[in-house]
Amino acid sequence: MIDRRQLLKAGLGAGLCGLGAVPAQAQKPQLLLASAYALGGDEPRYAVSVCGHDGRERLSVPLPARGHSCLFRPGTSQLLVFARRPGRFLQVLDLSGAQPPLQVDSVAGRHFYGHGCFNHAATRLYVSENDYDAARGVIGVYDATRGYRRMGEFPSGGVGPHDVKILSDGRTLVVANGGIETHPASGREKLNLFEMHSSISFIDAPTGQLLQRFSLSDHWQKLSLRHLAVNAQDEVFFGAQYQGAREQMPPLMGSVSRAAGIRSFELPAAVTASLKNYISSVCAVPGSRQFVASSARGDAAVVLSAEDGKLLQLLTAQDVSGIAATADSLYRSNGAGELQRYDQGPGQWLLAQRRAHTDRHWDNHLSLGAYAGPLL
Amino acid sequence: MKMRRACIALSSAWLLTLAQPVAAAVTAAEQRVFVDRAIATVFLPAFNNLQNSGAALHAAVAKSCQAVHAARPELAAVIADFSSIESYRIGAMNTENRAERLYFWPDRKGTGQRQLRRLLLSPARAELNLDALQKKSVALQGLAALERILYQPVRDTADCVVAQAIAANLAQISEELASDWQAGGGSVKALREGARTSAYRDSREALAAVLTVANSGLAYLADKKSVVLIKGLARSQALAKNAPFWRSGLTFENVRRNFAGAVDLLQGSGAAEAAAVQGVLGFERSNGFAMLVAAEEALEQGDIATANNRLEAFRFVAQSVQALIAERIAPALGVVTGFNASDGD
Repeated sequence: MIDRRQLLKAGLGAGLCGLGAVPAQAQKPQLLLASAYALGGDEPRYAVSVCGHDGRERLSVPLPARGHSCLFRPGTSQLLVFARRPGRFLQVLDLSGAQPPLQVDSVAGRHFYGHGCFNHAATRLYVSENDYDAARGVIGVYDATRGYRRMGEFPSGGVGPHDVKILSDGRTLVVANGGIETHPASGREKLNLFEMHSSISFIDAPTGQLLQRFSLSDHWQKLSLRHLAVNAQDEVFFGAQYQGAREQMPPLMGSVSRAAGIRSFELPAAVTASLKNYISSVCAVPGSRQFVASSARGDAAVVLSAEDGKLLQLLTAQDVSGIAATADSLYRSNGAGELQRYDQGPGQWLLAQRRAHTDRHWDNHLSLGAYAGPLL
Repeated sequence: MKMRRACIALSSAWLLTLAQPVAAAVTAAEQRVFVDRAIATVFLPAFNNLQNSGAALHAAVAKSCQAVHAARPELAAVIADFSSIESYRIGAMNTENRAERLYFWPDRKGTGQRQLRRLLLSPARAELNLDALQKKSVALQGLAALERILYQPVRDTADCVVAQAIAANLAQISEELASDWQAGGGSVKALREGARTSAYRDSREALAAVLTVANSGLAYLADKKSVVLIKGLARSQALAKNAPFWRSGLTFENVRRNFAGAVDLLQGSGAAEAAAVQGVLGFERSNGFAMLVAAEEALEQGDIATANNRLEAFRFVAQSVQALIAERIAPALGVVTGFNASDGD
């Protein structure tokens, strides 16, 4: 474990920047954006950045390896960074600097998939993990009040759990089981494409009981349901990545509910084709029934109606991946280091700001959080 | 060099370069020419070869059912032609599990052997036909299973019935793949048309797909197949039983043709020439072949350390060609891809 002084020292030598940029007296809740990134240069280096809504960096902290998604712990100064599959670290950063960073490693026989979520009290953390020798997905349960001690685990209901979200009842988890088997001995290699089956599970978090599980038809057996977004109405949306032939173009987005199961959104063929069988990230827009999905391979993001999946807007941007939304603004990040903000205009989102961080490639996801205290 | 290797090690995805190269201004028409040449001079002939040898194997197994081992030369020819296209994961190879049905490797859990043993003990095997085989596990349908049958004692003609069904399946898949690359075939249409609703929006994406095939094949060789061989040699002090085609003694032929298949795409499409790297690529090709010959010779002499050393060198050659694609060929042809697009999750 390293302390704050060591963190500062390490950061100054390895990409930590922006410290002290926000004065300690800033106590008003502020909107923050967090994303992992890769630094350009002679050797690949990885870090996590926290930016304000204006896109200016407030904080940057090196990571031991490539990160995937971030998660603000509500009501606290903690920011969690999950390692990218098949990584084994979970970094817990204290944005105020009062506590040294904490690294939680996956237990023996498990690795992380890059996502997690809190219960409503933010006392329990649920993390998608791989029981790789048994080729089964599990959800690891961690006690956030006791240094993220691992309390146990339960089956995710499928292979390759990726994203995990919690519904408004505070106990029902939704898990996207991507269906792809991997093993650390083979790195990121996909081991079972010929027999993969993706699914979405509803699980009762306190008991670990599988409530319901929905799978795709055999026709789209190679469609990997990967990322999830949940809105205030508890509507669950998914974004998928297709592992089959490029010429086949399955629906990549849809919704899932316990009552109706999986419902795919049918987009115009040209739009589906333009997304290149790949959705990078999804998010729900608070206060509206809109759902946004990005496609790095398609160089585009689509805004859809949550009601019927109708395409509302197509926003193109090179290598766009991270997306996050408030009721008023939509944020996007891309591999070229751009952070963009779109504001709600009459009937559509309008580009309001773009900030270039040319030293880096923003990684897969962008996370939003509100934080009231001083920054490190 | 250290940076180059580190970047490649990040992923088998291609064009992951933290310092992104700048794409050259290449016209769509010029990009289309590279794609057309890849189809005409590499994909089509390679898949035609497989179709021909697949048909010959089918005929040979049918003819020599009393002594099915007599079909080993025809099997070797199919293995050779398959090895040339093994990494061409594009078009029909990616549908209906054709790649796995042709050759189920690596078989980490010994599924194929277990299922074949069970099948060969079953009286029902005497009734096995193509339709029935195609409903069975992919691990039973292709070269891995047929190689086992042809290189183990055959008990009776019922074993031959199984071999015939597998040979028929291989012939059918090979025919489907070859027709995919004929004029009007699915892959040809998709790569050439570039319509908005096709798999490739334009010639840049079509060309990127062709280069990705080469790069992915090299990554698979460097990061997977060579590693399996090296670890197996270290563990067994001989070619391990998880090496591809070890029963028929064609392991190195398989790797050599895999490597050649990737390099052929870069040379045959004209991409290497356009990027002015044909000399370097030719050198890497010879070097790669030499390393494989040296590794096989060392293995025959029981010099495991030298064999592994040469295989490590071969890995490095494959990685060097990957770097050539990322740093020279792709930028020269105007097909640089983004960070997340090439290696997202």
